[in-house]
Amino acid sequence: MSDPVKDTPGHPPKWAERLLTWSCPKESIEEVQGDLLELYHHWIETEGEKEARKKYVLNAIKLQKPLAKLASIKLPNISGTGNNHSHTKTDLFILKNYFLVAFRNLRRNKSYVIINALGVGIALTCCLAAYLVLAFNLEFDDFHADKKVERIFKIHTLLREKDGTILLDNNAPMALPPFALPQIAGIERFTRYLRDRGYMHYRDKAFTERISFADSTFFDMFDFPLLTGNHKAFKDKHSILISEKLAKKYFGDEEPIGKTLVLNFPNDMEVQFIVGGVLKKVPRNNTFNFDAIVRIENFLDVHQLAIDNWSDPLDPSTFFELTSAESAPSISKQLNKYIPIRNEARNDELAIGYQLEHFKTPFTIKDIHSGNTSLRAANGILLLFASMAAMILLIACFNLTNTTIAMTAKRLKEIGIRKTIGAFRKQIVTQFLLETIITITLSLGVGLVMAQWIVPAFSSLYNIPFTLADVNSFHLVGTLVALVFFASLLAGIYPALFNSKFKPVVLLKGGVKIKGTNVFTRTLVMLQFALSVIVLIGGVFFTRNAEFQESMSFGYDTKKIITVNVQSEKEFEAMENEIVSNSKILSVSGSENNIGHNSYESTIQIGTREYKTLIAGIGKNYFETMGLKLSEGRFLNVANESDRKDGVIVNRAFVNKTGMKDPIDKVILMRQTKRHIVGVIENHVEDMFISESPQSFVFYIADPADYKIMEIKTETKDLIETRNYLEATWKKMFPTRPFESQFQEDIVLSDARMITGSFKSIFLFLTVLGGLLSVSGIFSLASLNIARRTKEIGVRKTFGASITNVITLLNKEFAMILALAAMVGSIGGYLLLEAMLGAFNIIHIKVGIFPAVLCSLFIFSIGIITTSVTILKAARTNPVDTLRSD
Amino acid sequence: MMRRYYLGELEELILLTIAVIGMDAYGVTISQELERQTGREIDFSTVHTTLKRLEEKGYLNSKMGGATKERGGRRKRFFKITAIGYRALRESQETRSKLWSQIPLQYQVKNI
Repeated sequence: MSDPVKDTPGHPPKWAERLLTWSCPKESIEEVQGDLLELYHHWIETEGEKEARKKYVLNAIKLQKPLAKLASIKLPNISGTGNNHSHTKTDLFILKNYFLVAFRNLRRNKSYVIINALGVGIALTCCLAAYLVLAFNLEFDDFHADKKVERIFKIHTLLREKDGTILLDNNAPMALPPFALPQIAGIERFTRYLRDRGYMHYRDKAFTERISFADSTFFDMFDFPLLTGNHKAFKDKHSILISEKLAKKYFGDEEPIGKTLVLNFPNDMEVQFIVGGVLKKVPRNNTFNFDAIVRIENFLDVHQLAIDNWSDPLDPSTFFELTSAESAPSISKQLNKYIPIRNEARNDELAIGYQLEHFKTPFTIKDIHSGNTSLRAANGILLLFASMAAMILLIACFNLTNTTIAMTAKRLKEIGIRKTIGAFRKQIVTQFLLETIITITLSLGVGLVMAQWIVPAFSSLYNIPFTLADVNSFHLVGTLVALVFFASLLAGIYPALFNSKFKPVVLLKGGVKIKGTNVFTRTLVMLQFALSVIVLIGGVFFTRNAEFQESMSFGYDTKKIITVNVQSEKEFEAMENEIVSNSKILSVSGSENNIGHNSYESTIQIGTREYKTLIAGIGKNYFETMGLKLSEGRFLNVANESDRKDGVIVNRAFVNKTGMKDPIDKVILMRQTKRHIVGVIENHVEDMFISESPQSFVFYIADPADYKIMEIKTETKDLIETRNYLEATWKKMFPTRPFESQFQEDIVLSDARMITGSFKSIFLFLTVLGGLLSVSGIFSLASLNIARRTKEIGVRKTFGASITNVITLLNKEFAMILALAAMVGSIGGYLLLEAMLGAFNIIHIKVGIFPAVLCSLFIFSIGIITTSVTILKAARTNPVDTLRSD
Repeated sequence: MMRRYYLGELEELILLTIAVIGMDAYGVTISQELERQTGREIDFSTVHTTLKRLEEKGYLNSKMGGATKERGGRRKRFFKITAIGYRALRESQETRSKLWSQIPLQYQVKNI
């Protein structure tokens, strides 16, 4: 298996080949692989590829057993005395018996098995979530074979900012690679890679897409498997390769190859491209991550860049293939001769050096300042996730251990008898470990089901477009098996060793005392309950906050406005004329910048003082359409020449910030022009995240040529209908341009909804996790306590104690633990939420004492109910049964 | 009494096939020839395991050939029947002939 075999036609399935190398003895691997390959080609000819693959796989699997070394070891046994034979039979019998006893025992303790399987299961879900984040980094670019990219290096530019900080960019000037290729020995070829956006359309389908640009060598240097078409197509400047997703989106079931896609770039450039290939889906954790790729020469054309341009700030990320990997450091040094040329052309940031790094050398988003490629996630998050998951798993395992010990109390006699009739200690240990392994395997099932729901919530919170379907399944299965093994050992080894150590005589006489609770176990259970309270408070809070967000007022008509992106005055006017007759449309306005969407910060001057404020360029009807309320003065009038030239409207927050009194007709200096304040409007909420106090705003009249957004107002109930009408109208008028529209409410709420939603599901998930862990924890504590006090309960009952008496007595200890947990939890929850909300800086409702108290009461009751039910079982038993046993 | 050689049916068939092929006997040719001659489809994995077993029993010996282009540069393992292998085949044949010769004449003619 020295050469990596690709999974292409004419080649047998890769995994089956791997299977062969896995178990074949070294001396026969070569001939077996060779023979099978030859047969495979023969089968393709005689029976077709499908049948050939089937046969190959079948043979590879069948070869597993006979090739394994075991088989050759067993050979002599057949001619032996037969002793060995019967020995394996006994082993099988014993194994079967282990399983039988294990299943019987687990079935007898259903509630215990279910609680623990759920607890450990959810802990395993957390591990899966953490694994996903780890895998994103560890399997980054894995589908590029190491051998293929062995000699490929990426170029990094070292920059020095004006304040002295050093930054790393993973790009280089557009002109550098073509200059370096002939001038520096040792560079075999290069590819530049850039990402941009563009409008793409095919017939009536038009959307904005991410477009990547690369040199013709791109597909020679990097492997990207194709579904259809040919990589050679990329040698043509007017060819485009697209992802499977895009092919579906634009062509549906039609054959995409040879179709023409039209791309619109800025400067009204329109270029036609022929689809030359459809790319197979690759995991999102890769450097390039593109949906559509065309030749970089098109980018030069669109931006009218000369081939020797050193000055354009849109630098591509650049990759060199060297003749030998060892020469990288010396070539790095030689590249530095271009630094002066580059710095002469650009004066924004000072480059101080170029470095070549191997293509697969890991860099995270923290390391790189800017570039055109995707990067690994920051290591801090990984560490946090991994340690949290490990801690949760540890707690779950600890609970399982505790419960197992508690359950053993009933099985001491069983162990005693087993030992008397000759069981070795090893066999008892195996029995108990097996039971733990079965429970944890069940948990794994629970974990995998839960993961379908919770893992996407995690990844959306950290903006990682990566799912469990994307990770390498070999690694995943390996990790899961290791996890089950490790968790079983962790949870099961102590009870197994503990239970098997006693002498049978002691066991049968009943001389073994199971210890009750101790400070450590009580503290642990207390902390688990406190944690449950904390996360429940969080879950309840974010649920309530989600409702609040939906109903909160932004100070203008967020719920009535639809925005449509436009590119020019022409488009705006044509659209406006077309739709203004619709009676559902209350008002239409245009603007360069819309509040909540793309208003931007600028500096204005009043007298000698400078103030930072948000500004927006607006058109006619703007304030009326948005529903911003006038407080003083008048609105801007677009028809009025002087308003257009030097009028502005400010908001109340601006007045307060600058401390001006009687603001009407006051003069401010904006973009070196004097402007008069004609009116003051009430404050609105610009952004849910920035601050709770309103932000200052200045509005001016924009040139209609700069209109980017059209605002359309309608009644809330007509929103959807109006949007559909707008889309239909747009498609009719501009069939080749994408209709890009949003509801104002979605614009201002989308991020808040996403964050609140993710937190809500994570907290509620953690509540279920915390709840289950705590319940299993306190359940095992209660069981341990009862096991220790069975006799005492019997005696008390004989002397006339009622069931209620017994429950109250035994519950006292747990009530104290739970009360403490409720207190710690509610205070902790309150503080944690305050800290989190502070960190996210989001407008929110008060956390509130009352919900916190309710949450802790709720968790308290769950705890008490668990212990009471456990105790009830013991309290109900007839004292005769417990006392007679001596 | 001389040592007995036990040959399973498949073992015998494979030994005979190797003898038929002669110099060019390796995994692929053996399984293809076997299929052609018997009309039965026998898995390569079965053939391979049987070859290994026969070699362990000493009925076969093998050596690696030179590198070949069409197999991705992988070499072939050629098999040859050993003296013991021949003896085992011969003995099996003799046993059968002996038994055949003892079948009453009328059955030989009628039923076969």
